[in-house]
Amino acid sequence: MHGMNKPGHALTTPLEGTGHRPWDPQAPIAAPLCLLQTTVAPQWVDYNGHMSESCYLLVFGDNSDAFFRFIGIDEAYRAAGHSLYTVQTQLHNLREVSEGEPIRLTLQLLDCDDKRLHIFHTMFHGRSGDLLATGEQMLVHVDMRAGRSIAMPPELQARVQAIRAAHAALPKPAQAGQPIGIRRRTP
Amino acid sequence: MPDDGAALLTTWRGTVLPQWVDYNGHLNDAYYMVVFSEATNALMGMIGLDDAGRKATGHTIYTLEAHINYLQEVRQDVAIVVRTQILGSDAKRLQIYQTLHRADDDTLLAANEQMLLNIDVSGPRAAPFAPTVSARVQMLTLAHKRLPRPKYAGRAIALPG
Repeated sequence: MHGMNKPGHALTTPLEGTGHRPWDPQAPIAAPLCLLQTTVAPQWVDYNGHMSESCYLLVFGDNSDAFFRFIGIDEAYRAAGHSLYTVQTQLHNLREVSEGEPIRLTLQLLDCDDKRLHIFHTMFHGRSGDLLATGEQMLVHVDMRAGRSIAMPPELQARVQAIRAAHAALPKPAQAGQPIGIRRRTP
Repeated sequence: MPDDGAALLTTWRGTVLPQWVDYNGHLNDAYYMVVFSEATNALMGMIGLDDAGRKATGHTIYTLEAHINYLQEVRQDVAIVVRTQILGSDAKRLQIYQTLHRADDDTLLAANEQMLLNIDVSGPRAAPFAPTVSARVQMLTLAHKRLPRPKYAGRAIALPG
């Protein structure tokens, strides 16, 4: 039965143990993908009652997990020795959000090759629609036993390419591809 | 080595906790940020914005942007340490670079860059650092100017080619 296996690690995602979604090659692909809606949990907020900066990344991780299950990566896939590892993350914290407030996430596939995925998370307030935060990540498909990157299997590559094609017309987000730096006004 | 003005600041020491370890069996990518945020909190203390300093000034620090390069996996119970370098500052902003290492052999596990903004909590709105804080920020910025530019600073995310 799904969701009944106690994981061997303490940190779990909301979808842990639920397997992956069946892939329907005929189904239209949302641009961007909308795979996660939730509310700000008590354990995510700081002494001010606002979501802690590091917990934005935790929520983006849950959004990634929803995306992995959308393309077919679940517990069984990882048990067979492959997974996606994050190699870079860039966060922009734009607005505060308080405990109990609704949030919704989108995910845009910016780019990909045979073993890498460049993804972009956006977090909005569930009612006002305010932009709260963005998270840009580079993920690499790895052979966990060999400890090295490896091309995704053909069926996974095909799904990723289908998503990329569906997302090709989306504008590049303003926060994407930006290094961090103090931008000084010229006198 | 003690932390003198020109040396990197050791801002956090601890071990990888069980609740930070995910389905891949190692420190989850979001919890690298938790550790780096703890180090940022320690740095806030060093510039005079610990609990007492925040109360006295009415100021706090927000992280506007953060970038992490994940370089090595690390498993539960491993002792880890964070070192912090000031890359630059102005009247209200502080740009920092932090590295996470194994405590035993100093292996580099991850690099983190953050842009911090001083906030007057009564707004909340951006505000210049309080004078006592500003003096410490400037002293550290000047001392760290002598350090080499770190390898993973100023990176954008992109596929090669």
